[in-house]
Amino acid sequence: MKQRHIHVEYLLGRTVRDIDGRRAGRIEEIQVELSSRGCFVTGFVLGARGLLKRLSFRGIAPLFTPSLAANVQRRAEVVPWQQMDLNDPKCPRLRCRKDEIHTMPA
Amino acid sequence: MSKPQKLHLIRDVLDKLLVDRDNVPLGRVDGIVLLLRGEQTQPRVVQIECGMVTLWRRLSIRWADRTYRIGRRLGLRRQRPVRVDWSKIDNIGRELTLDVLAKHSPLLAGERWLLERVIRHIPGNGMKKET
Repeated sequence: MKQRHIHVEYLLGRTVRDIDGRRAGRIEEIQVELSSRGCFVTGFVLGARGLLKRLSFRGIAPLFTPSLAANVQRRAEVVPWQQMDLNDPKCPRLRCRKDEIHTMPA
Repeated sequence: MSKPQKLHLIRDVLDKLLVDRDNVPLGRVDGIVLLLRGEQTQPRVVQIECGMVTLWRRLSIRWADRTYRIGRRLGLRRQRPVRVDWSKIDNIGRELTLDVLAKHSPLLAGERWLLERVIRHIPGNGMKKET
């Protein structure tokens, strides 16, 4: 594969499908690791939790809506970069089935 | 070597204010560019992008192209987004501090143009007269 540049902001909100075409969620946040070697993507947060994370919901939500916060916590998935296929940024795909995602800690 | 720092790109970087070494505002982060080298290589953040066209493109690619074409017809040359290397970022906090000086930065090229061509000719502009 030739090296190419893609824009993070265009990935935002894109629906991700697995290899069977099933919907896995929308990309709502991208986790990166900053080190002396550079800044590398470690995972993609799918689902409502990513959106709430962007809105800094996690800190205050359990105080007001504990059940909703717990539900959101369960539903969110962080897909490791190895399992995300970004060859077509308009239609990002998983390299595995939806149930085979090795979720990462957020 | 220091411990790697974990960040959330959208929450911690996108749309954040950029400032130079002396805390002079330079604009906002309108886009983030990733480099993909292959399926087995970890995607890397290489640049951040600033500019109206990038911002428009987030809303609609068609509108961004139209804005760019209209701008070109009006003779606006500095509409291309400015890309800044990730290595130029000094600190990520409430603002993103860049290791640059505002007066030499292409991020403020539009403001400098406005200062030289318009504001300089307005009486009482507060600028010192050249001797």
